[in-house]
This record gives sequence, structure tokens and C-alpha cells, in this order.
Amino acid sequence: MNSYELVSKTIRGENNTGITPLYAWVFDNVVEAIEKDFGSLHQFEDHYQLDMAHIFGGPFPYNLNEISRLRASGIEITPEILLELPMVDPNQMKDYQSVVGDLNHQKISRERFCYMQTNGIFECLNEVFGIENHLCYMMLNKDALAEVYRRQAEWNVAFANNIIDLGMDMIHVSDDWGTQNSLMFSPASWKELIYPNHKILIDAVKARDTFVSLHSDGNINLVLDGIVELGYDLIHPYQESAGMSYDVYLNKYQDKFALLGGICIQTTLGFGDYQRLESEIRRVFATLKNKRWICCTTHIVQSHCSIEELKFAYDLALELSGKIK
Amino acid sequence: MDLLEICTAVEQGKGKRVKELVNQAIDEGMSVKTILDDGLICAMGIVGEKFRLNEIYVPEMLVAARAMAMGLAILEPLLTATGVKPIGKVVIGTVRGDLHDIGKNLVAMMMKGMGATVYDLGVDVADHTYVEKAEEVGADIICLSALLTTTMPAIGDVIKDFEKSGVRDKYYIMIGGAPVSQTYADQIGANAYSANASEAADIAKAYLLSRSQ
Repeated sequence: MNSYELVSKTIRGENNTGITPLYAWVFDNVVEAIEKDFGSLHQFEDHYQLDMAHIFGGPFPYNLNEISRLRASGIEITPEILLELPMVDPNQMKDYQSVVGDLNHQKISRERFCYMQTNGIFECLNEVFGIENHLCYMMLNKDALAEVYRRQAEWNVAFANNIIDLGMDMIHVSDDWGTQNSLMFSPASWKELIYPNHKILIDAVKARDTFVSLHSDGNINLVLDGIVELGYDLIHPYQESAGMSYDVYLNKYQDKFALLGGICIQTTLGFGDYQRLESEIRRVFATLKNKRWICCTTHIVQSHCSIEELKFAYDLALELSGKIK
Repeated sequence: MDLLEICTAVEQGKGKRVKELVNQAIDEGMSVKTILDDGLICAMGIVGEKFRLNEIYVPEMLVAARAMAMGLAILEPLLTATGVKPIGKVVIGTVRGDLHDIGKNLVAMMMKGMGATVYDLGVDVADHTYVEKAEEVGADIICLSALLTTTMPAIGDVIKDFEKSGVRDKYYIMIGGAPVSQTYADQIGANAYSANASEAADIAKAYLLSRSQ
């Protein structure tokens, strides 16, 4: 069974191999250290038999240079102003060239399960509005914001369809909603403004018989039932350190969606406490192995994590995954 | 007029209405301190408690805080002119290397809302800037925020800088942010840790009031 099959079956809850798929978010911060030790990121991925590939690229919905120019001239980018600005054409395939290159290596050459970083509704607009203004607009400019979100959802559909046409296995919607203790905004706001626009994208992706996953940091307990209703196949990271309970997942949600995560970069990986790191990795494996779970870091490995510690963690994860006898 | 109207307008985030009502209250001869205490500060106390109890969330808190700030902007010069002193002085910032500021901004607004003068240093603040500002303005409280595990150590470095400068005991240092905890606060010798903006304001107020007794 290749990596694509292993991950697909795990997401569907059909993995009876006793092998846990592995992945790691090692982009940006620790790449240099990895390259120094392994020769290249690809060699690291091969060494640890990573089963997935997180692919980035493609166009951004707005011309950020234009946004910056307007802001510099003293104009506050409100939802009303944004609606007057055209969105970037998502159908210029030249903008997806890097995606093609990554798929050639990860999917075709390595047979990995490939998923694409895709805009959600809330997070991507923080870059346009500024997060503080954005949160205020949810209260004060709701109607115009709803229209911005609807437009964003339609753009996301076009983006996702192009990505699926290129051969991607999963559309990975990145939309941070949680703080350390709760949602950033009310469940009512989420249901009114966020939910319908995620549904537009999810329905379109499901119609293409493609997996769809959600990334949201923080505590999103209050909208888990809504996420199930939307039809997400997988959630990353399901952040235990922010109050997301594996017990609740196993009791209530394990037949509803799969998990990607388990090695916490906020509390565990990167602090030089190898005893605790080992204990935690073993605990999570004991809890989630043979469930609908892919072992991965909860976010990008931070720059304070030494290459030695990263190797220690993944040597152990590889052993516990069952991939090596 | 009934100051409850100002309170309600702040809670609802109606900044323009807050300004109208504050001006009306001034025109009617109400004391500026009374308008501040029973209109604006009272409202932020209610908002802060609702936020702490998860009855409202960040957007509601932000719009209320911004509405409060609009009213406070009218009162501040009048407060100074009438010799009303703030409850204390707070220097606040997000630490070196960290660009996140929502939490810090909420704390700053809550601190203003409870009657403190706030000196906001912004984000990615160099370690020694806190000491410099604290000494310059005669601060009472220093608030340090970090959102990332990578920038959290800078909080400890700032505290060490206060020690190295020989002024640690002059200031009450409070810390907060997603990766921060009471355990971490104890390890690095911070005076207090708060899990949210509302709690930060409560702790700060309790400290300042205890000092004045």
C-alpha cells in the first residue's frame, strides 16, 4: 500500500494495517537545519517515510500591493471599499506552476497524499482588513462583510476546482477561528457568516469526489458540531493544548472526521525536555493509534527546536507508527 | 441624563452615540469623574465580565472598547484640567520579535477603561525600551505580551533587564499571551499572569488600589 492509499484509508476510517501515517510541518523555520543534516527537505521526508505533502501556491484573492497603496494613502479598507476592488482572476493557470512542480515530485514520484493550502473565509481577509478591524466589521459592517465572504467563497471554489484539476487529493482550508480558550467570535456569528461560505466550498469539493480538510488553531469546541454538519473529512490540529479533548473526539466524533496532529509545538516539541517529549508522543500514540489519525506536528516546527530534538521525535514516531519492524 | 445610557452605548459599541451622550452629560454639568466612573468605566467592567464568562467574544469586546475610547478622548483633557489623577500608569507592549497585538490592544483598552493612563509601546519592542519608558513616565505596572513560544523567552529577558537596571522592585510586572502560563510567570519572576484582558484589568486594579490604601 502506498502513502496515498494509507492516508486515504485512514481518513475514511478504513485503515486496518496497524500502521499510522506520518507527516510533519517543517516548512520555513527548520528547513536550513534539515538541509544541513539530511541534504535536503526531500531527503528528510523520504527518511521518515512521510506520507503526505502540504502544497502551497497559486494566486491570492486580492492584489496586496494595491491594498497597501490605498492604506498608505489614508484609506481604511472596509468591507464596502473592498467590494469596489476587483478580485484577482483565480483561473490564470500560470499562477499554479509551482503546484504542478510539487505534485510531480510528491504525488507522481513519491506517491504521497497531497493536500493544498486553500483560503478559508476569515483568516485570509485578516491580511486585507487587519485582524482587529476585521473583528469589528463583524459587528458594525455585517451586511457588507457577508457579501465579501460570499464573494470569497466563490473565488475559493474556482481556486479549488483548478487545484483538483491538477490532481490534488485534498483541499485544505486554512481558517483560524480559535483562541487559546475559546472561539475568537461567537458561535452565532460563525453560523451566520462563516458556515454558509464554507458550505459553498465544501459542497463544490465534495461534488468533485475530493477530500476536504480544515485547519484551525485554538479552541473550536463550540463549532465542532457545525464542522461535522459542513462535512469536513479531517481537522488539523485539533489543538489539545487549547482545550480540544481527545476523549471527546473518541467518544463523539471519531466516526465523523479524521485528525491530523498530535505532536504539539506549543508545549512539547522544541523545549529540550526529551523525557517529556517521549512521554507525550507515546501517550498520543497510545490514545489515537489505529483510529482515524495521522501523526503530525500541530503547527510549523518552531525555530527554537533543534535538529537533534526533531530527529528524536520523529525517530520515535517512526518506530511507534509501525512502519519499521 | 441617566449615565446608564452611556454605559449601554459603550456595551453596544456605538461610538458616535457615546460621544453625543458624553458631551450631553458635560453640558448638563455632570462631573467629569462621575461620567468616567459611572458611564465609561462601569461599562467596561460589565463588558469585561461578560467576556470572561464567554457571554461575548472578541468582536463585541473590541467595539465596546473602541466606543469607550471615543468617549474617553473627550474626557481626558477635562480630567487633566480638573486635576483628576488616573488610578495608575501602565506601560504595555508585545515583546521583541513578536508582531501580534490583539490581546495587547484589548488589555490596553481595558486598562484605560478602568482608569489607568496607558503607554502603549506597540509590537516587537526591544527589551530595554520597557525600562526606559517606565522610568520616563513613572509607571506602576508593566504589561508584557507574547503570542509565540519562540518569542516568549523575551518576556524573561525583559524582566532580567529590569533587574540588571536595578529597578525591578519599583514595578509590578504582568504577563500574558497564548503560550504563557502561571507556571511560566512564577519561573521568570513576574508578579502576575492573566489569561485574558478582563482578568488583566482586574489584577491591575486590585494591585493599584492595594497600593493606595
